[in-house]
Amino acid sequence: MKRNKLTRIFSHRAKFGLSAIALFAGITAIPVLVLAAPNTELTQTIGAGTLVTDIRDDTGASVAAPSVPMSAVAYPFECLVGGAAPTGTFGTNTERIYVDNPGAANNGWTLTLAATSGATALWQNAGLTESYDFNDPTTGRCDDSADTDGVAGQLSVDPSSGTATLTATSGTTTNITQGSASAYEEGVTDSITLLNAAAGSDDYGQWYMTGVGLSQTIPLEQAADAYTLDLTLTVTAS
Amino acid sequence: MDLVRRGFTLVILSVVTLSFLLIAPVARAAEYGNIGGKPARPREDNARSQSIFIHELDPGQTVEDAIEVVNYTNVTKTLLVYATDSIVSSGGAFGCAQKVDEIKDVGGWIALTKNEVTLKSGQTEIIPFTITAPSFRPQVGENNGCIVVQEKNAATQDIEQDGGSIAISFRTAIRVAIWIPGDIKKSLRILGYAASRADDNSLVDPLNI
Repeated sequence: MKRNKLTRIFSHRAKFGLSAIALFAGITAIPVLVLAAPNTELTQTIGAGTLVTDIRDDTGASVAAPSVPMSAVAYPFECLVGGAAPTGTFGTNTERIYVDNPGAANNGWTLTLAATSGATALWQNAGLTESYDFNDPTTGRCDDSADTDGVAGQLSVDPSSGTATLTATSGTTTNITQGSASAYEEGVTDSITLLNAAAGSDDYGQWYMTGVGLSQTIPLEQAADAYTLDLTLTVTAS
Repeated sequence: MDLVRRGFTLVILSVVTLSFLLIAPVARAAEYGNIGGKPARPREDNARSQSIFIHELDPGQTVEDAIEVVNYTNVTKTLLVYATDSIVSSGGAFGCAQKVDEIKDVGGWIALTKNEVTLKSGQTEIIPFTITAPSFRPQVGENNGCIVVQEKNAATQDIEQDGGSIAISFRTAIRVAIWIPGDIKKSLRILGYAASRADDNSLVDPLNI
């Protein structure tokens, strides 16, 4: 009897164990069956991509709302020009000017900077009550010329200054030239070239630029305020 | 009890195994993290048509083409797609006029079927357009314009800085090169010429002719 009881207990436990093994086998069989299906093949798409420009930080992440601060100046009792003019740097370590060409421009490209509102754009305060010009070329750059507005001032851009550098994170910088120092002049120089990639430049590459020097003349007795100018960076497959 | 414990262990193991195995492999596109466009109908006979729009048109002739607009960012974007004239940037580089600039040339030859498109992450759309050369005396030779792709509502920063600042927007543009066949005639006319005598009565020739 004792032996029979032990046998029953053993038998009961053995049945439970066998049931658990069967359950394990059943459950693991499901994914095995799924894996055996033909739709488990891994797929990966590499998008062809397009020519793009962007401002990214040192980790490569896009900067949501990039801007270039200009140095603050005291109230201008006289025209601020030359060394007295406020300056800025377009392209810093945390706001790098990137161009990506994933084979989209096979005959070269240009990177240019122009006023978003066109040649009649102005530096304006938040209330749009005060303004000065960014493209008035008068001698000394302190007086208004015969352009379409009645204010003075001129913005100079130097993509080849001593601080300006072009770095390739992919490809090479061969056949890519940095633009020369220029100042905006209404109807004459409405767009300034930062980079010019010739046909012989790499069709696949990624580059970034930093240290583009900016300088803005300020007319005398310009009202104290914070002023803004909107510029658009355009990369063009040419 | 060993068998009971083993049974529970096996059940737990199978659930864990099942969880891992049921995680399906996810296929996703590589991202460059930006927006842009490219020619949708490149021609085999012209490698440059992979990068720019290039056509030869007689006066009054129309050609159909298309741009493929892409959104490789992680979010839905509304993009503006528009044509502009080309401009000469500093140093003679190729540039494109701004959206607000009056169109006077090739930008006006281009008629896009859409000027705005909303794309989800990874989505592309082909926008057809036509280019019609003017029938009345278009300039013989190469004429250039641009088709531009730009985000509609790009973020702008708050400007409350003492020295002010410059807000930056971005565009991607594609050159549109239209060749108008014909003889290119360049002429030079001298409209006037003046010479004078110096104090020693010699002739002063300003053009050294």
